[in-house]
Amino acid sequence: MTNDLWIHPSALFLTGALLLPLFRGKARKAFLLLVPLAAFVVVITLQDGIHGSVNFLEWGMSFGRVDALSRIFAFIMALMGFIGTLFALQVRNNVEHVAAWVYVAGSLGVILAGDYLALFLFWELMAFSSVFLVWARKTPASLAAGFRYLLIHGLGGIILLTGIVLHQQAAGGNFSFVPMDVTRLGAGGWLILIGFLLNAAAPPLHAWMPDAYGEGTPSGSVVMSAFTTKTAVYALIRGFTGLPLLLPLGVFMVLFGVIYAMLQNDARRLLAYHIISQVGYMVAGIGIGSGLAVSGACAHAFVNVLYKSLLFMGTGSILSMTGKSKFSELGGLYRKMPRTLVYTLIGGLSISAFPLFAGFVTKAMIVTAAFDKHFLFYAFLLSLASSGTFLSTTLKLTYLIWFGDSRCSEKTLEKAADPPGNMEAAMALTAFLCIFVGCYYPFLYNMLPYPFTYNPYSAYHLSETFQFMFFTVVGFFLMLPMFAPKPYLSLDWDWFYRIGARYFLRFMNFCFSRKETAGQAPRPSLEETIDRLLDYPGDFFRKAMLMASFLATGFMPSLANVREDPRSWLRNAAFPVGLSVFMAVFFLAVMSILFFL
Amino acid sequence: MTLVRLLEAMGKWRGNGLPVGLIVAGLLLIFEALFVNHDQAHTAMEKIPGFWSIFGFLSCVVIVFFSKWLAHVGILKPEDYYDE
Repeated sequence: MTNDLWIHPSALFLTGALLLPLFRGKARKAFLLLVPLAAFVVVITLQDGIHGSVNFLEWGMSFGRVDALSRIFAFIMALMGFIGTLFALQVRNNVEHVAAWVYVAGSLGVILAGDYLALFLFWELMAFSSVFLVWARKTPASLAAGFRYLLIHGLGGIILLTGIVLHQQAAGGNFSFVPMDVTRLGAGGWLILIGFLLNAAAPPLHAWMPDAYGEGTPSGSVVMSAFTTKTAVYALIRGFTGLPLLLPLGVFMVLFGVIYAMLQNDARRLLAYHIISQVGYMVAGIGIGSGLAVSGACAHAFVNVLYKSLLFMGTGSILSMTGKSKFSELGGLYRKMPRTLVYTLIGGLSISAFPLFAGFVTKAMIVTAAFDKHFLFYAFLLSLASSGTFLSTTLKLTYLIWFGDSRCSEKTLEKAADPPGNMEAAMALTAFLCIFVGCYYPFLYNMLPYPFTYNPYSAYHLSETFQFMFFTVVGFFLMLPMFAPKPYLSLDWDWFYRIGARYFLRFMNFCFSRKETAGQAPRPSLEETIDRLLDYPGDFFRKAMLMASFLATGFMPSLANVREDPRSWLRNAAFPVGLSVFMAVFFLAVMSILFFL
Repeated sequence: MTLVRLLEAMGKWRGNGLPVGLIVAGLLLIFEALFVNHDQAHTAMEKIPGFWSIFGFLSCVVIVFFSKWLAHVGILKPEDYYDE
């Protein structure tokens, strides 16, 4: 242990999560706000260096690496911990708060981890706590989506761990989490990359996200939208900056997310696809690898946490007030929820990179870096996708919920109203931060870890953005009838495991259970067939030996000469015990031969 | 509710979409012609006046039609598709 007193911000969240059930009433609300606030204060007072090193078995683990890169990510994560809790303040279910805090603790733990062991520990903590934010919705659909989420993240965890072990072997027993040699990754490096990309929701490893975020609780999805993917972006920046594969992958993510979002009927699934799209910009920036591009990726992750959670708060407010999140069941709500409209619109303009809003000062860093490095094709594709972002998150989302024809039932209309004070306060705070960062961008630029020079408010950039956005608006209104919502769902990669699992189950049923069909003899299952074959194995064995000896010698002994009936061996358990002993000795012999070879 | 009244007042402008759109487009082009220094452009085609207007409009059309095409080839399914 180090000598200085160093408090890990995750420790505050974890202790808070343990103590929360002890509080009631107003004290509980105060405690709910106090813990994230304290953690935020701890994070902004972090000193650069390596803290919290402990020895575990023969390895040193470090829980607190603080430098410019981890500081900016820890800053926004801790801030989001506070905003998320404020938004969820009226939630009575403690499970949701505890799960959210453990999840935030996991995310901060990953960001401050100095080695792969600590990273993996917190990485899994995130997966296993966030699933409760899906389950807390308590619907059959959320239960199923939660299990799928857990299975996929379990798989990702195993891939990551395998990669870590292989990488440690290749790196001479070194677990430290430092930039990889991206020209020679090795099997361990590639597996770690796959583990990270699964959490970054890179296709085809992305289907867990719209699935789970669409089914989470209103406040649970707000928290989830901020942490898992952005933690993965941090891990990618730390480990894989400059890996050429990430640029085309990022551009593909950007376009994939935008196009799939167009097909969505559920507002929160639409936003989940836009997370894929926005994370795509960051992944592309990491792939470009220049100072401007990687700083752009950090900055974009920073503002993405803000505006994406703001959008999820807006749609979460609709869901928690009306119980609806599908466009085909909403519409014309501007009289009922006008302030929610304003906050959501601010989130939408921020994600669309409208001047004076947060995304404007960050997205252009990555696109400009792509132009500067002469990736012209990719740079134009990144620009093209901006149009889709503006179309769905700002124009389509606000139009189909607040304007146009009302598709609400009477009950929905009756329940619709601006949400309670704490939810509105969380939205107002986030909306303020979106505009603050967009207007006073040196606040963000000064925190960025790599050197660059860039001025987002040049006349050229302003003119480009205004023209681009205005003609997207023109296109939207010209094609308005094509945006009419329909109650459909879109197939995605989860089709393979949702339908695949069904056929797997059928296959297993076919093999291992008896099918009773009326009027027919029951078909013996595979299990029964194998059973019959292995029944009295001694009998088969004896017959085989007799046949062998007959073939070898031409002499057929009478069965009566064999004194003992093998069935009695079986009854006395002599046969299975003998077989087990034989197998144990056999494998030990093989092992020892292999060992001495 | 002043906010609602403001929104309703804005709604009345909807009928004048065409003239308002033309005026805004004109202002954008004038702004580009007078104030924008094209040194920051990375390719020659960006120097065409109104390039980003055309690019924005085409992007929007491409994205909408591509997603419609995906829906057409069978990516969209009824909501009970996964129910057994």
